[in-house]
Amino acid sequence: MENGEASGSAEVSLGGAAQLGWHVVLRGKWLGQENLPTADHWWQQECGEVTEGIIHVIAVEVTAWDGRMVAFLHRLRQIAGERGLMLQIDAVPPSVDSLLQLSASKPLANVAERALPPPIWQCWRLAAQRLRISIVECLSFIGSIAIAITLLLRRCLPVRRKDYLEIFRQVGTGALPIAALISFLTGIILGFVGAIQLASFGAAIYVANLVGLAMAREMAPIMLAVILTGRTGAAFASTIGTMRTNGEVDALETFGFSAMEFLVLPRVLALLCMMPILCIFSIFIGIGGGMIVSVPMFNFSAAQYLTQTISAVTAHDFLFGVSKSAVFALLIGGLSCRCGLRCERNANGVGAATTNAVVSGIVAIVIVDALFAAMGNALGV
Amino acid sequence: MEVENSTLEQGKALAAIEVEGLTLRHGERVLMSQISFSVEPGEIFAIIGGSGCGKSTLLSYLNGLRTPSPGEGHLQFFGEDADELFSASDGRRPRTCGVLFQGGALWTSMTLLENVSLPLQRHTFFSSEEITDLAAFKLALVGLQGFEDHYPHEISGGMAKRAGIARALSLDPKILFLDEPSAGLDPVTSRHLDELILSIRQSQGTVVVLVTHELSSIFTVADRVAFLDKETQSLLQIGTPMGLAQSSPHSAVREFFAAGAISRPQAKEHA
Repeated sequence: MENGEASGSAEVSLGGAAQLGWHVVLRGKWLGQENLPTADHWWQQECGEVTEGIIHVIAVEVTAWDGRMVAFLHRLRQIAGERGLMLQIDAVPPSVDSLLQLSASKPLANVAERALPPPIWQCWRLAAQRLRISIVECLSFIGSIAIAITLLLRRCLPVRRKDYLEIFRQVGTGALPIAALISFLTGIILGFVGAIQLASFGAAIYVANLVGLAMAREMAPIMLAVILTGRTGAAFASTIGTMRTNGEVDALETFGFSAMEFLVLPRVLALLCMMPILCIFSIFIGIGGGMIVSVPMFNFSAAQYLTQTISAVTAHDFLFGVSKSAVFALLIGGLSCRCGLRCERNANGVGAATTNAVVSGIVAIVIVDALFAAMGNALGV
Repeated sequence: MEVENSTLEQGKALAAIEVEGLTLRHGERVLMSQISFSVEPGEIFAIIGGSGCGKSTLLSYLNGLRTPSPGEGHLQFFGEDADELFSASDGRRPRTCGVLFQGGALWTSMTLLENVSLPLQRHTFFSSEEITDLAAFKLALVGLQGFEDHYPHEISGGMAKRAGIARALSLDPKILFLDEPSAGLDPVTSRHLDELILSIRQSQGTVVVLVTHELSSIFTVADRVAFLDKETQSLLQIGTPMGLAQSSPHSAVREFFAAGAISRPQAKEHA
């Protein structure tokens, strides 16, 4: 059935001469098997001498065919056309003929010329240009957030309480369980790491210092920021991106609402208010986690552990961490909303905006955290 | 006062929309160059043309979502410069232009009633009861009584368009822009929508500018039609629907109308 029979495998052969016209003869069954001839390959193999004249296409004893035969002829016609040859379909099954006529008809529109990607040595210039544009955009975005906040504080902006409540709930209480879980586990991990090392110096009680300081100054703000980037930042970017794709952002604009006051401001404010609170909560939970690990391991009491923590963690450390989390909140809120507002209007665009929001958010958080560490060191905070 | 005087001097009413030498761009690509037309008060003006020729883009220039680059055209609404109108923060913009987007573009996190009342909350000093009543009335106007508490995802496409019209009408704009109001709707629903458009014009004198593919809608509602042509990147012809359909000197226009010749009987009825 497959091949080897007289009318079995698909064949294509070339005959004739330039003066008399060339003949391309198709035979056999162009169906149901792999490796049918392909036009480019066949042309290269067989048609080296065909440089002028008319090519007649004849299908003889073609017993069965599928789209590949039509595609073969279509491509053959293109190849002939590129070489200035005339290809004439003389005798093929009528349905093949009509398909070929359809595919030969004039395209609906002229194909617009696509811009070629720039050569590789110009990439740095484009990258620099893009960086400059995005820095300018970033600054103007920050500026308009600041303007919107001042307007809000001067009560020039009407506030839809329902929107704010919903977003505050989503950002704050919605993130509570996962923030608790992550900071508890972080406290436990710090406790274990510290306990093993410090016990060998006989300084096990200093686990409290380690856990307390690390949680307050670094771990709570940064873990929380990473969680909220993934949880809230991604949600902001995809929500705003989808709204943009649906035209809802345009609709806001035509009614005289700016996306800034209506979409960005509630989200940034919600993060700004909720994140420091979540951060304080995380610090306490983390200290609790450290305590749960180290108190049973060594023979000091929970009270001792807490006393040690209180003596180690000063109000400065606490404030340092909490204020850092407020800065992170601004970063996450601003970046994710901006990614959403700049989203391209299709499903891919929403995906890309979300990815961008999370990636740029996390990178920005780590960079800013490093700056904070350097500043804290220089200022002795 | 000055505006009124100058109007009197000219002896005719100001055009609702005056477009002069506008170039439409989509990114870097020029879709249409140097198009000019005006829409008169009380008129229903249809913008037609093949797919991708820039009809929706033109609409986005008209409703202020895009602004022409310097030197690439000029827009006026009732004699007022578009730049001034669109940057005004006193609610003049939504009171002048109401927009129905393709697919409705209702705010998905709000009920229909909230969708319609949001512009009222922002731009009027009405009490919240008044706003609720007014919004419910606008919804009833488009046949959506009883759906006040539904969310946009709970209603059908035709209803979403109606709700979009109710929202666009919330501030009683002088001009209503409709982007493909009947696209994707069944013939009966789209016929109802046409009737709605006519009755809005009749009751409030609203200028309606609509972009559409539907020949039946064009013949039913439009007073004048502007045909945008992709090939020549220009506004090929403006005229009454019958004028364009029967005696256009341009083959592209004739072809467009001939392709939908089946809707002719309705046209006669209208004429």
